[in-house]
Amino acid sequence: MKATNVKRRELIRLVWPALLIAAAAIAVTAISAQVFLGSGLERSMPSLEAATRAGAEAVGRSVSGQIAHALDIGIPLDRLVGVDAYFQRIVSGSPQVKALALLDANDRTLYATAPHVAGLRFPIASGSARAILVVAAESALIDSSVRQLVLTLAIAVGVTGLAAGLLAFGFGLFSIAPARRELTDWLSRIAMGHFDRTPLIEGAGPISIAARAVVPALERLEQSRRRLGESVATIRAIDFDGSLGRRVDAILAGLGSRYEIQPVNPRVDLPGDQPASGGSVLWRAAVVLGVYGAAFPLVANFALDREPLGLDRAWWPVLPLMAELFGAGFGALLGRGTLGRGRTGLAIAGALLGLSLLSTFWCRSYATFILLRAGSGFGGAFLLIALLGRGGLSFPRRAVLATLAFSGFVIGPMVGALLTEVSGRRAAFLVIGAGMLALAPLVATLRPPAGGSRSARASGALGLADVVLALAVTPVVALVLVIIPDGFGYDNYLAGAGAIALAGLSVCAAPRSSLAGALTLIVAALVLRVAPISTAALLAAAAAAGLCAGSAYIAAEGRAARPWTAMGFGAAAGIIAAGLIDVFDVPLSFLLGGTGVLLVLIESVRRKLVRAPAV
Amino acid sequence: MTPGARMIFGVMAVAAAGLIVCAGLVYGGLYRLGLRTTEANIDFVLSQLRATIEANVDLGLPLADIRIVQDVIERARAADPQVLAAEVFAPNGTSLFNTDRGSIGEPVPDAWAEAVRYRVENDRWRVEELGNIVVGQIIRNDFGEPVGYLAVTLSGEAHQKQADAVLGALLSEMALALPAALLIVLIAALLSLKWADRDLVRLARALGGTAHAREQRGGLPDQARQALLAIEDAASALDRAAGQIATIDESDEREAA
Repeated sequence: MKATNVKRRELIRLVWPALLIAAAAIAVTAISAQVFLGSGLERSMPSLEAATRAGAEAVGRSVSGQIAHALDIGIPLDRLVGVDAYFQRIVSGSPQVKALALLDANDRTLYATAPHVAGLRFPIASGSARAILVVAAESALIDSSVRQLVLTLAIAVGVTGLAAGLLAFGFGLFSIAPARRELTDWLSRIAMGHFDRTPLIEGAGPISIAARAVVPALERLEQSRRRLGESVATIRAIDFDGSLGRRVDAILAGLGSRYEIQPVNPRVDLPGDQPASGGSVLWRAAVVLGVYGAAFPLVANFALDREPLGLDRAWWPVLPLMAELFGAGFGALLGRGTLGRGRTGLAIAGALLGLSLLSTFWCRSYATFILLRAGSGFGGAFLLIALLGRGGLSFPRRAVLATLAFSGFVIGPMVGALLTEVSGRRAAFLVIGAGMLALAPLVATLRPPAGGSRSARASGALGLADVVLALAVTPVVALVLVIIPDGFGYDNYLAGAGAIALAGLSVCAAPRSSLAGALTLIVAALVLRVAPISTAALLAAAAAAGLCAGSAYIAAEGRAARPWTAMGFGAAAGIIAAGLIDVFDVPLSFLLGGTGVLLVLIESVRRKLVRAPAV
Repeated sequence: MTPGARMIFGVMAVAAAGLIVCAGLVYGGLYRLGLRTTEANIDFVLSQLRATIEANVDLGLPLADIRIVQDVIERARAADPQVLAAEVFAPNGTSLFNTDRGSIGEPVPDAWAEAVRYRVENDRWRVEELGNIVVGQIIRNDFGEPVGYLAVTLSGEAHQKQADAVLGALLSEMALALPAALLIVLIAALLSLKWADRDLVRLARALGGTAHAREQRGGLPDQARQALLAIEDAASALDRAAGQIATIDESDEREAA
């Protein structure tokens, strides 16, 4: 009960500040966005409405001219043929025209695309025939664009609040909570008489201040220890026959081993080669993954627009992604080695990632884009593996997974999509790349790991758990990196990024059971098979695929020999599968359903083997 | 810099980035809306021009021989002050009819050729050059094959004026909104950190004061009190042992004397 209360108090201490900060960020961003929009519309609306009116006038002049021509050649007004269809064509093809109506000289409506049409009036006269064309001008384009803009601003406000809140929560969880626990443990040990450890008391935060406040009492203890030591040394120096020493030993035996005392000197600077804390490693990894993920909604789209000759369209988005994966593989291999331990390696990898993204702004050819994606993959994977492989991430696996998933698959892609909405795709690559270049020094200035300390290196051949993980990753990669960006995400980056974010959120919320994830995938496949393929169905499929991948990753803890390698193979299989689906026109439900069924079968066999008595 | 200060700076940076993105979204959205509104107007003109030209192409005449096209494009230019120029060019990029008669027979700019090759959507293409907007459509024959391209150059001045006005307004709004927003976020972050660390601050103050001051401030938390007691006990025990050892030393000196 006490432990539960403590955990609840810790959670409250983490959640409430994050909520307050998120609320403040949302409030200031929302109010500012409203002010910006109001101000922008105030400056724009006069010219927009004037342009709309001018367009409606041009339409009116043209249409009234056509009708006048018909009257000129003697066709009576009430005998004009095809006017309704003609008017409908004009209205549907002219966003600045809401409705058209043709009135006779007595203002009686002869033809109209809608009831009660009012607006600009164009008199038509030909001989004795008189008519009036009425054009109802409408800013349909303006209204729909403003609605879209409001929605986009709402998403931007939400993403800002989410990012601020998660930053505060992550800071509390990964930086403050471990330091608090260290302080608490230290005080407990002191209370039990163990004065053998000194926490990290460098710094100016409240934890360091609290720790330093204990130091004067420890110094007094140290003085007592020194005095005792001096006294013992004095006696032993004059103890020629050992009799005095025996009396001293008797006195010291009374102290027993109750006290372990370590000299404390807080004024000495801590040595510079202290390893980086887990929190500082994790935030850097999150930043790198966030920047890397910002390009996710844009890659397939950019590749498609290169339109390379001599290659089937199905493979246009596949090759750059495969190149990126190969680059990531090499980067991961080098990142695990000596190069990944030093600051130089991190700086170069960060610069490479930044430059590869930034250079896409100028990229015109398909081949160049493939090279740039390979460079991005190499730099990003090198950084991630070098950071995460340093060890010291003594946090719950699920918390680390959630942090990285939020950063790389929720915040990153949404920011990338919003940047694209601001200034276009190329400029988004430019900003993301420049951002990475600016952050590269921060990421690189990480203290190297303490001598020899690395997380346990993956070993052994790929096993069943690795195969399951690879299979589970396949559908989500196919969906969010290729199929959706080539589908409804092609012109709608926010929708494409939303699909990635949904998959990322599902990863975070995934249950531990890989069977549950597989079953979810089968249900999604059935829905896609039965219901018409729509944006909502594909988004649901992305969520289900994310859930399946997340549950497989959590279930693979301790069982997968090489989880990162398995996920790499799974990603490659997903990208290629997306291409094959397009080439052979295979329904997407087959990929999802087939993967789900395979996963269920493998899991059933595994459980049977586990339950079967040893022969 | 304390970890808390770093977190506060991070949150403020996120809020600032959010504001800048929102301003950018408003500017970008209204810029594109202005463009689309202008282009929607010219699309109507283009489709009328194209219909007229294609009606003549459908009679079987080669595009270059349809002299009426020159009159049609000049009338379209005269009718709309926003239209700077109108042009019809062949698939090989040679200008066939042009409101700027001196350019007839010249190749069209490379950007137009690239747009026609790579950026046609629904038979429509567009280019922005030198602050002007060029919008075009494909002219097709009865068999649906492109026989030429129509291009209308619009003045971007009005649109650019509108965009500059919006940008000016946004910048001046941002100059007020950004500091205010950062201040609010800073206050929220400081308050939340203060709330989260209140027990630590109490602990640090209590540990650092005298026993009397500690009692005044509500005493120490149990854990801290036990820790200080343990230190006191240990120090006392060590002092007692040192005293006892000093007594041995003194008695030995007396015996020696």
